[in-house]
Amino acid sequence: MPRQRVVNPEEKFPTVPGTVFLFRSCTGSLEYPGTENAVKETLASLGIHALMDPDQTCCSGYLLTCSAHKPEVSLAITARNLSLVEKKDLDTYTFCNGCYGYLSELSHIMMHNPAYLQMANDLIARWGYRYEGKTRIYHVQEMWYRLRETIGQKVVRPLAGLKVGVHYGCHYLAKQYGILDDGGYPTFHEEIVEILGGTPVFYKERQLCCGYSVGRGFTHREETVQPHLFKKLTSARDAGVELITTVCPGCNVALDREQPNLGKRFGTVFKIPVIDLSQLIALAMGMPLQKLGFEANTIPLTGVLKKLGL
Amino acid sequence: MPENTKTALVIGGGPAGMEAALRIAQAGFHAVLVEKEPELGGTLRDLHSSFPRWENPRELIDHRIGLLTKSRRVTIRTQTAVMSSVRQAKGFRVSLKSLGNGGREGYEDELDVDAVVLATGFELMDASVYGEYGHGIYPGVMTSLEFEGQLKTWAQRAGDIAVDAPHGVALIKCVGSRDRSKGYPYCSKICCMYTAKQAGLVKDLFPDTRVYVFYMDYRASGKEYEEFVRQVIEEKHVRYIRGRPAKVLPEDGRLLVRAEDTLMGIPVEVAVDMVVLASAIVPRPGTLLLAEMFGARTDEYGFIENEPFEPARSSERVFYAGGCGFAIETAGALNQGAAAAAGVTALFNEER
Repeated sequence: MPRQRVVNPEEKFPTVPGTVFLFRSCTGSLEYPGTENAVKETLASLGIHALMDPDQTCCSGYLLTCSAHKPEVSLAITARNLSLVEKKDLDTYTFCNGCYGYLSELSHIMMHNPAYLQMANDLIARWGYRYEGKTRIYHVQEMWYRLRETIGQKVVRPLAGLKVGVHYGCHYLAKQYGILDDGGYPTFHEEIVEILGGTPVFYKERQLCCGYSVGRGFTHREETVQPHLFKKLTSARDAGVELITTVCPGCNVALDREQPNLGKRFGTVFKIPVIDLSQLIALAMGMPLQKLGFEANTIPLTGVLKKLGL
Repeated sequence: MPENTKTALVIGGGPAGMEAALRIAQAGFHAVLVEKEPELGGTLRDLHSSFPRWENPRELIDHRIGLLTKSRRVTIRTQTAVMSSVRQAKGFRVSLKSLGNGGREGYEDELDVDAVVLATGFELMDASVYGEYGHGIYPGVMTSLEFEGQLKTWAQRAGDIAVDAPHGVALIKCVGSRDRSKGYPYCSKICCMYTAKQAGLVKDLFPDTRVYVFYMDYRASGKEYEEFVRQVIEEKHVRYIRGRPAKVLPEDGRLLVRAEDTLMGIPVEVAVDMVVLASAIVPRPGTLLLAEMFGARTDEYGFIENEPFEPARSSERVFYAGGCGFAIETAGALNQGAAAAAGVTALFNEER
């Protein structure tokens, strides 16, 4: 397993911030409220204060993907949300690959095209907001990797060799630049799983897309996405994966909620629970089970928790 | 003919450097041929065969070494590096260091030369920057130069080849080349031809092996080049698939190449035992140091560049040939070596 990272986390984060702005995710907070809990609790136990703002809205990325509105609207939404963070003089931390990808991409577009920035600012100025592009956008998984040693020291429920298959998600890896790892063959999640005492499993299709944007919502195309997911989950099952982790609530929804439908279409019943990497870290660090919200999962974690003696 | 005392320093003992040294000597001047490896031949030494005529590169090397060692005007210094150089009124004072030559390791001496020919060759981009192809992760994934070594091994063991004959080999072209996101926007020029050669050689050695070439498009512009590629496709039955593979995956001890066949518009998966990456051709890091040392011009990638209207000259008294200027096939390297020698001898004659 390569341990060389494209961007050295210690260079990306020379110091660990005391306070960060936590950008909430619609999918994460609604479908799996435990994810948000886990992120907040883990940040707190690492000594990082997470600030949020009820004025923050959806990142609007999914609507943009589905062409549900004009792209200009998304620029304005991004500018508005990030202007809230800038007022607090903080950096933005997302826990959803979608939010991460769209915020960084759309802010990049505005920062490199003054006319777009002007247009977005003109629109949000009606309500008294102004975006300058000062806040930097990170994903909490980067902070987890940066603080992997501290996390390792705080593990109180080691995973007892649990076979964990990770899923990175396209919207983090496809960004190519500024991300921690090699987008073509990432391994930093596996390293985190190792630190937690689990056994990372390199299943064949671990980098296959989750199919969320094709299979759900506006573009519901079961006939396209289900064979695709069947391939992914079959390879995970064949490799002996007992638990899949994601870093994106969208991926989590696609991989978890779709499993019963795959059973109906293909006659093969999958029972691989899917949780967020932050939930797994929080679990290992001893967070109470009630707070992790595993009840929201379609595939119950009973087997995994039994193995861990919980 | 009166003896000429002018001397040219030729750096790099590949085909271009050997040709330059030989032609300078044949014109009546002296040449010091410096090579850091223990043997002359350069990248050509690693090759198993050549295009477009399937010749053994070893024969060319031996022929040139024969002529060079016979010439009393050529001094061959293998396992030697150029450490520094000071420009003088009409030439350079260079410092040479022995890298290990029967107890002479570390021995340094100085030499006055009247001109220099850079012929330091090229190398391949580090293919592990494409994590999706798994170079350095899966043992069956290798660069094209590593694969030439594999072809040599196979050919030497021609008797018992059935033991380790691969069932499938996939060759991927343009790995790095023409990829702006990786910083190599240029076409590496020779990969289309050597990939066809390697694919054909596998078929010659193991007729039952399935050989796939994944290409963006193939560029066979050269004498007999198009015929060569067509021969590989039509007579040797190598499968050419237009499309860039998305991923190489391990499966049951083999490798699965996942790509899109863009002519058919369908996704394809082929199971193979070996994946050969035609990595982008890049200048050696040492070339840049030498260019600074001698005041040669370089381009944005670090290849040597010529002065306007002077195809083989990069700066006053600095000539160059071969792969240090850009990716080049053997025949082109020889031509450039001869051209650099012509530049050197013309300069020397003018000053006589």
